[in-house]
Amino acid sequence: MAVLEGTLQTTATMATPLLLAALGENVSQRAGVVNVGLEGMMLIGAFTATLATLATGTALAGVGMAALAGVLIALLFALFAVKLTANQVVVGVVINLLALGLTGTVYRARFGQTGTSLVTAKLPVIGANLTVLTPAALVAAFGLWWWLYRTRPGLELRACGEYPAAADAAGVSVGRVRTLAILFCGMMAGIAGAFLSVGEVNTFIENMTDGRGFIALAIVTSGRWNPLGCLIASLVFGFAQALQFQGQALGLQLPYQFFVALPYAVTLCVLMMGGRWSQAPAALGRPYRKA
Amino acid sequence: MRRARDTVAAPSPLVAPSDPSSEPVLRMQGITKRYGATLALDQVDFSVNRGEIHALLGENGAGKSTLMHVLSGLTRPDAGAIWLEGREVRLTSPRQARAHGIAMVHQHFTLVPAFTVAENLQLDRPVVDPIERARSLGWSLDPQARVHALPVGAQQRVEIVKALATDARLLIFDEPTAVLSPPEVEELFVVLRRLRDEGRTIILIAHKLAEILAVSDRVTVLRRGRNVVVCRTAETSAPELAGWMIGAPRALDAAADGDGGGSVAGEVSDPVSPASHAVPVPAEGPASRAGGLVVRGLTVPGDRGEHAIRMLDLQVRRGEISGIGGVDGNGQTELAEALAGLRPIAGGQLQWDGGPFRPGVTPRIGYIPQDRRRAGLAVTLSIAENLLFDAVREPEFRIGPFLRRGALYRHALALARQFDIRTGDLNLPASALSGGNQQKIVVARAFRSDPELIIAVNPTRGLDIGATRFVHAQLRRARERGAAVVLISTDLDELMALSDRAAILASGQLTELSQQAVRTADIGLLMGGMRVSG
Repeated sequence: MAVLEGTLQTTATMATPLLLAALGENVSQRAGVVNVGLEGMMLIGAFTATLATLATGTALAGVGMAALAGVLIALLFALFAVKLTANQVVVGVVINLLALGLTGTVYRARFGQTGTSLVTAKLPVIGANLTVLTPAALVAAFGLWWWLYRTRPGLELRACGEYPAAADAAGVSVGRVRTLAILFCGMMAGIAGAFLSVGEVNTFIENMTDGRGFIALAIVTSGRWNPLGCLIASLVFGFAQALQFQGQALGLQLPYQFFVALPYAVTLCVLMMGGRWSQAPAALGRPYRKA
Repeated sequence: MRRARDTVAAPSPLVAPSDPSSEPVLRMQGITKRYGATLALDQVDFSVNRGEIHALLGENGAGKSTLMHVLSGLTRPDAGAIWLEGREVRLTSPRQARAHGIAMVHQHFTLVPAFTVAENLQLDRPVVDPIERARSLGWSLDPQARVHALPVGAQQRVEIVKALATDARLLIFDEPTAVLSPPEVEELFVVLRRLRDEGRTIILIAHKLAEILAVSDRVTVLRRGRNVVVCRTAETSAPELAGWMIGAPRALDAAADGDGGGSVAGEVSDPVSPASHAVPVPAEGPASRAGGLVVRGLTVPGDRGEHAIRMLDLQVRRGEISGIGGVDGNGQTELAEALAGLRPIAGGQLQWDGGPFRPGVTPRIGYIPQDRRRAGLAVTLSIAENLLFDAVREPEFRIGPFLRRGALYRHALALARQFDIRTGDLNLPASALSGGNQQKIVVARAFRSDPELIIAVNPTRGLDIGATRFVHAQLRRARERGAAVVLISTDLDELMALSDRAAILASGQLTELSQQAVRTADIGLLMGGMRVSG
C-alpha cells in the first residue's frame, strides 16, 4: 500500500514540471511556433526562482519572478522568431546555450566562492506531500483544452498554426497571436523551472533541468498537440521515472538502466504508433511573412 | 477579314450594350498593372450591373485573374480607379474588399484542411448562420466533418458558404467549375442563378464557352491584358466568343496573308516553310518511323483526388512532334508528369516501341516541366551543378563514388556554349540568371543525353524571340533524330508552328485536330470545351 502510494506521489511530482512546460509548448506549437528553447527557459526559471526566493524569503514570490523571467526570455525568442522571421529551431538552440551559460556564470559568481550549500525556502506542501503547482497544472491542462477547442481566440490561434494566410484573411494578426503564444510558453516554462528549484527541492544546481525541456517537447508530440494528450503523456513519463525510484527501493532484480531508459522507450513507441495519424499543425515551424 | 474585325470592330466598353434599367454596381476604369517587362493589364475597363452574372473570359495570361485580384484587394494596380455603387473606393487589402461586400471564391480554396467545416466557417466571423445559409441553397453541410476528408465539390460548397456568410453582395468565382464533375457544375449553376435572383452580383472567371453561354447574362472578353469586347450573352455565340478570346488571325491566317506582322507568331514560324505551320498533317514518309509511345485509356489523378486526365488515348510516333494545346488547368501538368513517370496513374496502358513503358529506361526521357522554379531547377545550386544533375551518374564522369570534377566542368562548359547560356561564371548560383537563361539550363539538360521521348510543357514561356527560336530548333532536331516529342503548350502559335499533329486538351480529354477542323474559331471552341461538328 505504501509502495503504491509512494509511486503515485512520485509520479505526480515528476509529471508536474513536464506537464507545465509541455502545456506552454503545446500552445506555442498550435500557433505554429516550435520553441526548442524550452529547456533554457526552464533553467532560467529555476535559477530566477532561487534568487527571488533568497531575496524575499517566500517561494511563491520566487515562482512569480520565474514566470516573469520566462516571459522576458520568450520576448527575445519572439523578436527573432516572429518579428525577424528567423529559423525557429536555431533561435531555440541559441536560447538554450544562452540560458546554460548565463545561469552557470551568475551562479558561480554569486555562490561559487562561499563554499556553503545554497538552501532556500520551499513551496508549502498542501497535502499528500504535493505543492500547489501540481493541482494547478492539472487544472491548466483542462482549462487550456477548453480554451483551444471551445473558444474563438483558441480557434484563431490554431488557425495561425494550420494556415496562417487563412487566419490573416479572416482578420487575425498572425504575428500578434504567435508572439502571445510564445510569451505564454515562456511563462509556463519559467514556472516549470521554479517547480524544480523551489518546489521539488530547495536549492539550485547548474543545469538542473537536465533535459526535461526536451522531454516536454516529446510530450507535446506524443500528446498529439492536445493539452489532455499532454496530461496523459506527462503521467506516463512521470510514472516511468517513479518506477525507477520505487523499483530500486524495492530491490527489483532489473538493472536500473532499464528504468532510466523506460520513459524514452515509451516515447519512441508512442511516436511510432502516432506517425500515421499524426496531427502536427500544418504550418508548424514555418515563419509567416505577409504576401 | 478576321483581322479587320479584331482591331476595328471591337467595341469600346463605354458604349457597350447594357440594360439601362440597371445601374452599374461596379465600375473599374483604366486599370493598369505591370509586372516587370510584361503589361498584365493595359487600361482595362470593367463594369458590372447589379444582379447579373457577368462572365470574364480570356486565355491564360489574358489578365482575368489579375483584374479580379485588384478587385479583391490582393493586388494594387499601377493606375486606374474603382467605383462601387457610384462611390470611388480604394481596395488595398482583402479585409477592405470584404468591408465593401466583395468576396472571392478562390480556385485554390482558402480553407484550413485540418479544421472541421464549422471551425472554418467560424474563423471568418460570419454575420449570418452559415449552416442555415447552406440549407437555403439546398445544401446540407456536416459541420463536424473535417475539410480534408471532404470531396472537392463539397469543399467548394464550404468555400462558397464561407463567402456568403459574410453577406457579400459582390461575389467573384475564379474558375469554379475546374474541379467539378458535370452534374456538380449543373448544381453550381442553379446556385449561381439563385444568388443572382437574391439581388447579388456575380463575376464568373471562366474559359469554358458552354458554361458562359449557359449561365451568364453578359460577357467581358480580355485578351493579352486588354479589353476586347463586352456584350450580352444572349446576343453572341460560341464561335464569336472563341474568336474574341484567341484573337482572329493566328498562325493559319498569318500564313495565308503572308503577314508575320512582327508578332511572335511570325517570328516563330520564320525558318519553317508555310506548309508546316499551316496545317498539322500527320507526317508520312521517311521522317516518320515506326514505334514510339502508345497510350490507351490513361486516367491520372490530380492533386485533390479528382480525375485530371480521363480515359485518354494518345499516340506519339518517333520522328514526330505531337502538339497538345488548351487552357492551363485542364490536365496539362498531370499528363506531363504521368508520362515522365513522376505521377502515379490511376488506370490505363502505356507502351513504348510495342514493349513495356518504363519511363527513364525505355525510353530515355527529356523533360521540360511546366514550372522550372518548382520542378526544373535547384536555384541555389550553381549553374554547372544544375546542368549536370543527371550526368553525374554516368560512368565517364566518376570513378567509383568520386566525381571527376574536371570532366564535369568541361561538359558543363560545352553545354553552356551549345545552348547559349549567357553567363561569365558557371559557378554562380542558377538564381543569378535571367528567367530565359534559367529555362535554357532546363532545356539543355532535357536534350543532353539524346532522349528518345521528349515531354516539353510550355518550353518557351518567358523566353525572348531568339531563345524561343533556339528551343524550337532543338525540338525539330530531336524529331529529325527520331525522337518522339510531346509538346504541351498553351501558346497556339507555337503549337501550330511545330506540331506534326495537334490535339486540344480540355477537361482531361483530348480532341485531335484533323485537317478540316483546323480553323481558328474551331480551336477556340475546343479550348472552351465545346465539340466541333463535322
